[in-house]
Amino acid sequence: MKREEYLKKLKYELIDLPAEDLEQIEDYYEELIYDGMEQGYSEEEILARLETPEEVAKKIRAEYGGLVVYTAKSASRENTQEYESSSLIHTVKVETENLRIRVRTVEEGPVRVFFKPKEGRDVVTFEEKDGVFSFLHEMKGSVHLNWLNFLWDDNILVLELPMNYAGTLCLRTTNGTIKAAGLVNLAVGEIRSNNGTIRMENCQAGRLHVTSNNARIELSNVRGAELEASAGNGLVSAKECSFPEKLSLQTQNGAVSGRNVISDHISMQTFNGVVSGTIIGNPADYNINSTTRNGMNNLENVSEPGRTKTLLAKTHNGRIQIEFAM
Amino acid sequence: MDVQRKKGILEVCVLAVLKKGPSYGYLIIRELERCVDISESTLYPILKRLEQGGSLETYRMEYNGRMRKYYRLTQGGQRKIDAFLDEWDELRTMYQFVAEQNAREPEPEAGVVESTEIFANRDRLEGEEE
Repeated sequence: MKREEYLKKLKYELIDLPAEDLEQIEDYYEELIYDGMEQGYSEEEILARLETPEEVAKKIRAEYGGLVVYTAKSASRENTQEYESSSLIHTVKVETENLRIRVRTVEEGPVRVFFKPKEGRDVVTFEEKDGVFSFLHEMKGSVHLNWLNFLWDDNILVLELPMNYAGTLCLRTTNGTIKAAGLVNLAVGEIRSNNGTIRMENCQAGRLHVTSNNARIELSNVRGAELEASAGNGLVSAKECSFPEKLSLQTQNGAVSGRNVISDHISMQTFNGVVSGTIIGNPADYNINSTTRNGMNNLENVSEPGRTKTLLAKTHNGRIQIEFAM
Repeated sequence: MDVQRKKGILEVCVLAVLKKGPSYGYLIIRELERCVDISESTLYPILKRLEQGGSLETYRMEYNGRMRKYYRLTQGGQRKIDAFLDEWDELRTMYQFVAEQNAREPEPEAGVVESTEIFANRDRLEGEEE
């Protein structure tokens, strides 16, 4: 193998790096080869002593992680488009119009979005800057919404995050469901859908805000410090959730349910629906404020200075049934 | 050795090589090989990181009809070397401590003796009350 061939292969392996970096790497290896030759070695000898271009590329790529902020890149792969981060990311923002969002995790790797834009329909603005990974998607003009569209796979966006991603995650969509599972280290989660169900499972986040205007919210085994889940018209349910500082479940028209929840400050409110659940804790620790106009209420209101925890349960039309389990 | 720590130490080794004067890639590797097994692909990111962090700077000078890239130590780089050596003093003391402790013969397990003593004491006290 000759020098040119070696360098060409190396460049090919690292083709996704920004041109400037690629040039520097090529330059560096070219000089190493020249310097070696000037020491009296033959080109073949030097190249044989160097690692293969594939090995070099792999190592440089691994070393690079988190060092440099690159400009965004995207690559086509079969029938999907891939948008990938190449530096350390602290904020991931994904905003879409009429798309379903699925968040999946991988053990290690960059932040990646898989989405196949349709020509003439989808407008994608993708940027990576100062640790912020932002993917904005819009549909051109006034889009006539065909509900059948949701059966098509190209209305789905997949966000892939490393399992231990520890930054902020902002997800927003209109008319699509959002599903996320397995994120165990989020600092902040801001999840919002206008007309779609939001489901989160086995996640952990310091602060979590989940908002759905016209659909349900289902949280299962989600933990953290603070939770605010609010739906306009739909059920809000939290199962096996623990948010010691604050756990707030709220809707206007729908039931509110908290099964096996842990928190020092619990708020469960709706206008039209049942408020029910099981709180893991000692009822004697809680100051309780509960009201319903049209329904049974199993709680007794208490307000004593010695009690440090609070439970607020409110509905206008529905019963309240909240148990404590120690 | 822990990867992160090794990386940090390698960085200082590179800076140390530049202490006697500016040098270039090929020569830096040959010098480092005297103390550590290092490959070209390991050195590259280190140089880049050091340059970005202001510990070294680069310049080009004509050599054999081409412009060779040289690396030069900066004041920031010197501070990094100093910080490393300071830290090392502390580490060495801790290392010696660990080595000394590790070389000691184990003593009879103190906790067990104590607790039986407590029981013996309690028995005695309770006995006295009767």
